[in-house]
Amino acid sequence: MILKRARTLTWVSAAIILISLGFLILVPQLFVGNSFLISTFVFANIYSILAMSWDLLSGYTGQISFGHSFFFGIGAYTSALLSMHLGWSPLYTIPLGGVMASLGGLLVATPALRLRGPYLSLITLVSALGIDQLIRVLKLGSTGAEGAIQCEIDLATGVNHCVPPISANEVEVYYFALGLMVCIAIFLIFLVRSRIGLAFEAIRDDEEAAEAAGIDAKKYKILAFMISGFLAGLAGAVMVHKMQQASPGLVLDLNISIEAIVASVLGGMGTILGPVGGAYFYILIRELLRPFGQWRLFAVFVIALLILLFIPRGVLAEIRLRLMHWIKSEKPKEPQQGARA
Amino acid sequence: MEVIAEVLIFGFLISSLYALVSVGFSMIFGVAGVLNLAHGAMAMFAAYIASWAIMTFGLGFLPASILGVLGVALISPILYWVIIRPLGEKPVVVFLATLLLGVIFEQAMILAFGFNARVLPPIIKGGFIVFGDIRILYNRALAGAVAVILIGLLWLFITRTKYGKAIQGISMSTKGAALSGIPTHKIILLVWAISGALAAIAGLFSASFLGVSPLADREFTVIAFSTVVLGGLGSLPGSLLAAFIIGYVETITVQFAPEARGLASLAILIVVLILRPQGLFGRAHE
Repeated sequence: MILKRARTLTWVSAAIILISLGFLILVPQLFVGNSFLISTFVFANIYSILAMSWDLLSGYTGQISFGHSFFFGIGAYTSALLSMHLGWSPLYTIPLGGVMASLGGLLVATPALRLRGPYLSLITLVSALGIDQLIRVLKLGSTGAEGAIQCEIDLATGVNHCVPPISANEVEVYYFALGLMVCIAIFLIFLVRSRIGLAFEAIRDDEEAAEAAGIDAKKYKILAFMISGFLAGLAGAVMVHKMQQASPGLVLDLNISIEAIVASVLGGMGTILGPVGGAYFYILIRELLRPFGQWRLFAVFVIALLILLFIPRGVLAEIRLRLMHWIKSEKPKEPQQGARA
Repeated sequence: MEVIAEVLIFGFLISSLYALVSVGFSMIFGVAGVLNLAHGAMAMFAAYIASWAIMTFGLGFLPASILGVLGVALISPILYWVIIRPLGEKPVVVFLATLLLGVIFEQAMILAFGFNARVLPPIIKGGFIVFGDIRILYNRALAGAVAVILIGLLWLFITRTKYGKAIQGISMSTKGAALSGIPTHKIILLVWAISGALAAIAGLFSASFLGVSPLADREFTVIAFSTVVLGGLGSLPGSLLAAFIIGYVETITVQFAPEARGLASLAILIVVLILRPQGLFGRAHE
């Protein structure tokens, strides 16, 4: 029933991954004191986590989410409020943010179980829009307008009270984000190659057939929502401590969900490492090409659309495939229709 | 009494515009099986074309609007032809492609016209229709009337004409329709054009009351998407009913609990989808 997968990690791709990782580890040493660039790389790592989380739920399990900002925002707000008002260290509140987002995943998954395709995507979209509205209406634990969490000055003591950073040292923040991203990537790579990952793919490809083969689709879908929610929540929580503030516009905007999708499409849906590459590409262009103004985003979105049209596997997956075939001196096969929907 | 009459009238006006956006979205899904997340961008794009024509050529609102509607009626089928159709039967890829098209339009509008919102002049300036204490601007009343007339005409078109029957046929089975000699590709292009034009008209009116900004398309798309899913995918009567449910719920919440605007219709959507996963009028399984 479940075939043993061919080993897809060749020495070439292993070498490329190791070289990239080596470069990323050296980023603070290569760009000493360039805090803009280091910040940019921190954001790239955060978005990589978010994009991988989207990829697990949508690329692997086929449950297309338009509302990943829902999980991102829950993680961000949980961690910000706990660390600011209870004074807990971000090292504890970030995982708690992930846990809350995971429970959010359970909440969305429950109605989502009966829904498929567009109905399901709409539920994810509606949850994201709904929590955005809810936080604005409730003005959740904040002094800022419309549910924003900003620094508060305690009038009695004159102490400025902010969302604490993960560390005062930006290099440590960078290594924290990079380390978290790498751990999550390794975890996901093992996960998608396990029986659980195969069940996810089976559900994506044909839910009825998967159920007929004895896969409990409900159980696995809930699992996918919860793991994906947890990871996106972690990303949001790290983000909030990086920015030291939160507002619906910063952590719950629809743009965040769109950016996660764009990153995954750029790198290749259903590949885990593809979205990491896509997230890096997207964030580096967004941050480093600021002088080009809006043109840079226009260009990135057009590129993403062209990739969807002509390289539906995604760039990294296509390159890896061509490399493998080149090594074996074979012509690459044309992508099969509908093989990867 | 006053309040009830006000809710009834304004709810009707807003619902009829929602209906105009939603029927097009629903028809495109019916014939092409595409959930067109760039639908809202068509509404916004028409408003920008009109605004550009007014500013550049000094056209009046009416000719500028006609230009906007025609422009969208032309570009909408082209998008289908050039981008959506070659993707073939891959619903997820098509879904994401329309999402990207929408954001590309947003960026293009920002590049061409900047971030700031623009307001179109009303088609009929000043003046109110008076019902007791309720005053309705001529422009809003006109929007409601145009929307109702267009939906009525669309209904006649779909149920009474040859083309309409072809559209119905394709919605039921594309292959079956093609086998009966219906030029499916041409009819689908026609549906994209009509849907685009209807969205464009809604966008133009909305821009003349509320203005238009480069991200305004998202609200249209969310309304169309939620309405059509609430009504049941592929069911035009369902979409119309759902447009009125969402329009009235919004009007009522704005009247009695303005801060919860937006939340109420989202809540209704979630409740309906939990109770009836296929929407109000949807078939249980496609």
